[in-house]
Amino acid sequence: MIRYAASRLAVTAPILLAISFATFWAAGEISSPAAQLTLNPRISPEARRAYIESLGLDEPFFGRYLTWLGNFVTGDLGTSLVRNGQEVWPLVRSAMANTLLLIAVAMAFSLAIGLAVGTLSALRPGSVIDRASTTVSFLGISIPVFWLGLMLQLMFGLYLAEWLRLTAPLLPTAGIYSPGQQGFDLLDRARHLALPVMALSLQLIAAYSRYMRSSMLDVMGADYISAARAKGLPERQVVVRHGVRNALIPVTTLAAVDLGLLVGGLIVTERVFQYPGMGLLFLDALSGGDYPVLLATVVIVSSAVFLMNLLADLLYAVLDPRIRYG
Amino acid sequence: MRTRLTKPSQHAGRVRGLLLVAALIAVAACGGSTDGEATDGDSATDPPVTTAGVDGTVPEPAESVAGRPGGEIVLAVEQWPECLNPITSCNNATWLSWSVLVHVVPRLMEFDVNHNIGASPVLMEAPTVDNGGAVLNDDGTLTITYRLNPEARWSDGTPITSTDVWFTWRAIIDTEGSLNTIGYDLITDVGHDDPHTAIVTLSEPYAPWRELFGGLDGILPAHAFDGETDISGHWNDSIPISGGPWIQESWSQQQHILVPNQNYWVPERMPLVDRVVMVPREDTDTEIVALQTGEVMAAFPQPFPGAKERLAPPLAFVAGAGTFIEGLWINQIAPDRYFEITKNVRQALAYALDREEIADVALGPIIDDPVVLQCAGWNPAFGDWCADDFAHYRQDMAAVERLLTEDGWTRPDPEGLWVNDEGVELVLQWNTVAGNKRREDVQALVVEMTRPFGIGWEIINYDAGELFQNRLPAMNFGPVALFANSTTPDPTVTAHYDIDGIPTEANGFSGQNFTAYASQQASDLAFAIDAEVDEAARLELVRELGTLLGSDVPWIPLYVLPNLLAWNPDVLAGPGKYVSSVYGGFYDLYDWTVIG
Repeated sequence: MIRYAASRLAVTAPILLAISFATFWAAGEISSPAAQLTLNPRISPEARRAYIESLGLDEPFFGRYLTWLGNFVTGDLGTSLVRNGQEVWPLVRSAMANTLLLIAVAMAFSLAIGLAVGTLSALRPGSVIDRASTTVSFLGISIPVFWLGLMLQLMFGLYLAEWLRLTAPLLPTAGIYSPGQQGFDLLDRARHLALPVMALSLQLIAAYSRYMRSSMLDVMGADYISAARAKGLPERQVVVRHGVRNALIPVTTLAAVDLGLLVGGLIVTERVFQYPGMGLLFLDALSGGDYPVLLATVVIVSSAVFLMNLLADLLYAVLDPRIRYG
Repeated sequence: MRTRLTKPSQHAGRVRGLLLVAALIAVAACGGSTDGEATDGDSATDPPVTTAGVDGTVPEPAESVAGRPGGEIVLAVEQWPECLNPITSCNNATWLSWSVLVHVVPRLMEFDVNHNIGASPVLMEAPTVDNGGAVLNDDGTLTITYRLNPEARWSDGTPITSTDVWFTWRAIIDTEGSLNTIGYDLITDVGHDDPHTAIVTLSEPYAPWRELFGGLDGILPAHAFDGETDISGHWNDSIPISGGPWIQESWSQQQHILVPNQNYWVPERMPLVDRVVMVPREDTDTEIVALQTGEVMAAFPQPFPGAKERLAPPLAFVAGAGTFIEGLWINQIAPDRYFEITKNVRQALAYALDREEIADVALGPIIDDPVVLQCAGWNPAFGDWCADDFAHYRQDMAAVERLLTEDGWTRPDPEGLWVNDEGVELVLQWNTVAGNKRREDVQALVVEMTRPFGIGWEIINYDAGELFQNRLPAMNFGPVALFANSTTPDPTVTAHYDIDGIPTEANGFSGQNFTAYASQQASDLAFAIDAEVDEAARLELVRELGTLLGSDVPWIPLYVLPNLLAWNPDVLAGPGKYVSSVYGGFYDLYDWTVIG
């Protein structure tokens, strides 16, 4: 297994290199910190040129990329081009912490509900619960996050509070703290996490419940389930110890892959809810042409996706003894 | 803070069906207050809404109930500044000025609500030619004498003196990454022997001198930097000393808190509330929802389609002329031109456009009665600078036929395109920023609009970075491009019309004459305007240049992008007066009060 993991990691390195190069190229094509200076009559061409030189943007493309790459592999993520020399790492660290918190809560929430709903559906196929969960799941998978986010904001920020005759929104619609809040407040932080978690979770719950239902249906029809029942085990033990446990294998790997994808896939959610995570940092860097920040976010997120994919494969082997990586 | 909820009725039907979702997490909402007070947002009377047209007039602020002293105001900021330094590239962000600098950095001269520039509270009086404050010397130098108000002081109690003016000049010149050095690089000395008199000497006449240390710029406290005139390493995440009505309590990427500057010396501008909190709301939908829910009390959003509906009562908003204008820039040396873009061709194009319909398509979803911009490309739509230089351009088939025929064009097929004697059809390549819906809508309209006039288009749009960073400076665009341009109330014009400022390979693509308008007469006029210290004489020259531009058509003005200021009149009184100001809609925060 170690050899397998090493070989996967070896393949990952050139892919990350290619991604970083493509991002570097695209960043220059899409935006530049100096772009907005061009039409500003208050800024002379000389000052604009000096600014471009000070950022090193006048240097050859490959030279700039190799300089960035050399620094990156030695752990130096560089400095932001638009934040007056602020180091990139603290920016990424802070954003990453926020994103991981959001993902952790959303995943836990989604897995708990998704697995329960999927299991119940599978145990009573064709029942009201099964049909209702199927309908809701398809809805959840179909609704775009940006629209869902806006609806959640209106619902919990405006209409529910109005119907319940509250003087403040039921849940805050954006940010991570209430305006004016200073210092850490767990409850305030949790309330601000609620809507982004909901927006993120709806699709995950829908997906996990469908996977779990399908997996449970397969498992519950297997011979070893019949054998367990024939041994006289109580149905609860049959379902939990033999059914759910085996049905979890594909869902676990799916969740591991999702974990990686989510790190980079939060752009819309974070934008809608003004949540200062990796997605928002990515967007800010992209619009400002801040390629050191942009590259750091992309490479870190890409690495997370690869690592989580690898973890999923390894988990599969751990959970299912029949699978061996040579 | 006490907030009240408001309800936009247009969304009600759509979201009632989502009640099901609410049940899932009602438990999570344990922090919600339930004091039982009715908060349906119904007011006794609907708040007044002003949607003044962008016609150069300052809209009357909506009448609102006077609030009470004290309390807290929460505002949404649409573009959060990345850093605060007032001299470096941080200050490229307009929102740095609007959300931070105008509240804490003092200026010598300032614009009033009608865009007239005059003395700020830092000065005893505005220097003028008439009062001897601005003197054009025999040796060609210009001397400006500023008499500082002895009452003026920083928030730490230190007086604001001429040393601060001197220091600011040096900081603008010496700071690494200082961008806006125009005008300051002409200063040869700032005399500061008398603490209450700053004598600024410029090596040559500079007409927009009023905007030095004033306008959008300001002055810095010398004592805060320990004599270090390169301030690039300072004031990046806090501005600890203020010379304005407010002082920063804190600033981060999450919020900005201002409290009254107790040492501010201007009683009529002393803030009435205890605290202002600004929070980022960078997505316009999220920003408006925050306004509707009462999480923020006011917002200054960029114009967006549907504004009239989404900001309708019980919210209130005003619209006024902004400082960004949009027009067609005609690059006369575009590499992708298929024929010479002569004066006749440019005029014919202007006569083929119905600019009122274009303004309606571009801005109709945002404001009522958008007005066509009729003055030259460097001018704001307000104030004395903007005349009717382009007003005679209305759709006129006869004029198009006459102009193009004079230029040798023929139209073999009366339904087809004009063709020149080399058989080349009259097709113009047109660039703008890809994905900008407003501009792409305008392109689609104009393509149809000009078809009967025999003018065709080749639409090629680019990402902003490609267009503004790569193509524009290298004059590799167009020959027609549609983009916005910022203006200031006291504009400098040389950069736009200086013949030597046409970016070419020979001059290293330096310069900002992006229409390649090679008129010696216009260039001379532009230099004369920027060297004319007397305001009345300068205005006459501006008019002369405007008339010339209206004839030569180096660009075609289209419309002014409006500013919108929206607020919740149930909780906030006072907003609206500065909607068109270069200082942003939040400038007069000191006059705002909380209701209830």
